[in-house]
Amino acid sequence: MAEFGSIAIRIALAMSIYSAVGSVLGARLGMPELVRSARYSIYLIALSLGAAIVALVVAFLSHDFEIRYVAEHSSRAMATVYTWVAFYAGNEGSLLFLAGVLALLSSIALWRAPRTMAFSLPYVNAIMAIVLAFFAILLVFLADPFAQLTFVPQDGQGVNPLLTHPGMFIHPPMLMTGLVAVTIPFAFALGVLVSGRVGDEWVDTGRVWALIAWAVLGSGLLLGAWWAYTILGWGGYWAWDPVENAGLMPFLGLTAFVHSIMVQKRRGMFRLWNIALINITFSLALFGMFINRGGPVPSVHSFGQSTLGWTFLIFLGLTILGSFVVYFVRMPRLRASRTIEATLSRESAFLVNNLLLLGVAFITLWGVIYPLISEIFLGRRVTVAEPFYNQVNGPLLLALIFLMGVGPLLPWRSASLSNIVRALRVPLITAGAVILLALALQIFNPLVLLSVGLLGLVSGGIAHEWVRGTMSRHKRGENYPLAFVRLIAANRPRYGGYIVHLAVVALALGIVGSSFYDKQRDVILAPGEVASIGEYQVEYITTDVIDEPEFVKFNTHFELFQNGESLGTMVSSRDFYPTFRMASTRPAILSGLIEDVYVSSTELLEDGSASFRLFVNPLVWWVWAAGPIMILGTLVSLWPERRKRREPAPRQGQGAGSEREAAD
Amino acid sequence: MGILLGLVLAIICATVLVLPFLSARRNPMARELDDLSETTRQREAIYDEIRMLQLERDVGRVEQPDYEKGLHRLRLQAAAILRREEQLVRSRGDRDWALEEEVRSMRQQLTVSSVGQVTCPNCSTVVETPASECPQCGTPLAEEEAR
Repeated sequence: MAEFGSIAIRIALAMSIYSAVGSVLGARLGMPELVRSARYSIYLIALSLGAAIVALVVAFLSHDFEIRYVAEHSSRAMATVYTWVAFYAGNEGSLLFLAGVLALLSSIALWRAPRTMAFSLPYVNAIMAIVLAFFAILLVFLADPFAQLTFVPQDGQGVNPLLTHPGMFIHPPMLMTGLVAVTIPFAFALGVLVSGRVGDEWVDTGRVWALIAWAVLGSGLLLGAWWAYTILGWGGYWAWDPVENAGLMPFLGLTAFVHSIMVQKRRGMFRLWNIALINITFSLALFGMFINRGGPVPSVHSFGQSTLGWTFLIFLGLTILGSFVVYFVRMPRLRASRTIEATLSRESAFLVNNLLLLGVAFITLWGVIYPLISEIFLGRRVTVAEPFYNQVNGPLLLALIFLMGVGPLLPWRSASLSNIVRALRVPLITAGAVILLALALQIFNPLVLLSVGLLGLVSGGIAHEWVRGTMSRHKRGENYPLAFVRLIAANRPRYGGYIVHLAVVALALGIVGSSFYDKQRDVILAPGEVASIGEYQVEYITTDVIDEPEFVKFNTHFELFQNGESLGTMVSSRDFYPTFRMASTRPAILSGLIEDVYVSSTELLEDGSASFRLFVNPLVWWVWAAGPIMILGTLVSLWPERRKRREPAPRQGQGAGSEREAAD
Repeated sequence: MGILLGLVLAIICATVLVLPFLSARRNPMARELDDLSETTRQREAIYDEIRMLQLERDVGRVEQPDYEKGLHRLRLQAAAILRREEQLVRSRGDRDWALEEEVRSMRQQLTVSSVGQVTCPNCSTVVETPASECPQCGTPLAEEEAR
């Protein structure tokens, strides 16, 4: 299989170079057959890389330890189910995965590209092929997953124990897919620009692919948070780790882009801004891969480290240079025919939203690269931690939530003050009611009151519009459920967006609850002893020690009580892997809508007592609930609308006919 | 075995790459089709905007006078785009279009004789006869009628 895999990735490299050169030459020389052949070669890259992926999976399953990557990331004792995880546990495999996914997405994007883009598609194809060629070069020359050892070891080293978690089956692939999927809207935007077209023909396709990348990346980030919460044993889910930030920054860029692209779609504005935004987002995604592949900053994801990061940095530099050169060359022709008509309008709200999102992204970037900057200019490495990000990004995120509540209530073009006051009446009343409820629950922290008030504003605005729209349709004879469904279906991008906004409300609620009202306590308990945290009590029972071939397992049993009433026996475990000199913790979590009880056993002491870390984390459940809501909203947004066919040519005066049709 | 499979993959790739050259069919209309599709996209965007405006009116976000003003402006934009689209279709020399054009021209002649008005075939402005050319776009009307 090693030979087959090696040949397959070399074919992919040859195909990508052919595709990049062929599509541009074909377009320039007016040779449609060459353009088509170049497009076919993108499909063939997907086929070749798919074959290479199959070859590597087969090598894992057949324990082909002659392949170095298989020997380093699997063992005979490894459960077959972890083959998928072992596949991308190291750089070589994850690069093959990235390249394979990009080839597949590029193939689908080119296959499904609209006819409107026939003229610029060869350039889009070329950009995809260049990025694919970059990955293929890495695979062939720097990180060959099929490189062979000079001897065949009896057994492999096994998979990293931190990766043997259900979340790992889907979190890394989602994150990698999200990062690499940014290439598609970037290729469409830049390809159209290179072709000399400066119109809006790429907008719909760019928006769809950006939304797909956004949803996949967002889900990947959320799954990563879930993994951190359930395996690292520190009671939290987000630590502003460089690799988390590396995924968050392009996600923020994409969030800005999927908003501002709507302004271009609806109003033909923000053309310059959108191209710049997708360039920045793609650069941030490459930077994310650079950090992931062994960047210079320390991270909990250090298992992925290598010198490959620097090749990403060089490619990142070339991308920024190339994309912005094209941008500035085309700039004079890119200017929109329309400008913002009024400060109080939805366009303005979108613009401010974009600036805030980019603000958060760049502050995060600054935090990530600050250790390097401080080393260069101060001579010592200073790492910025959670308080920096929370203090600086916190207010910006609150402002974003405010805009999320107010922005959609503003009409396009311009809004009168009376319009805004009328539109804001119900959301403001909801916000007031939520704040009063919080006060009744004895919440007096002004920041929390402000946060929940803003969340009430957003939810109130959405609920008000849905209720009013449903009532309006109901008056025309539709029953309530049908009226609501048809209301949503009538403007999917908008109401899908509203559903996503509700996901953000759930997420923010979880973050506010768990950040401001979490409780933590470290205790050492002998068997039979009880420790309290909040209204919960933990009674330590015993710890079992189980010797497995690859690790030693410590299962700590305890009973959980709430106000003296038993909630049952729970087990928290800690596995120690001597080969990796690494421990993985599985805390016991009792999750509820209001709060989670989180018990992590950290050490079994010689006298039979055990140390525990106890947490009560309010509202964390809502963080996880945000994921499915976000996906639902994205699906609604992306669901295609059925277009009515044009009527045949009008019988009488054409102008009148045209106007009639326009009004339909 | 691995090398053999690799060889098969290479042959498949080479065959697929050569296929377009074997069945080469130049399409000189690509650019025009592209232009036409762009106007189609613009038209759909205007329709979207009209639908959105109606929705905004339905949910009480836009008042009736603003709605009517906005709708009027969008209708004018849509009409302009439709005209552009029809010009493009015409420039393609589409046979169906020629036929439709002939029928329309005959209808116009009927209109002229009955109500003394003619619709400009280029910009759709209704012009009172007698007139030698369209006051809106300058298209010679007599020549069109004669055709």
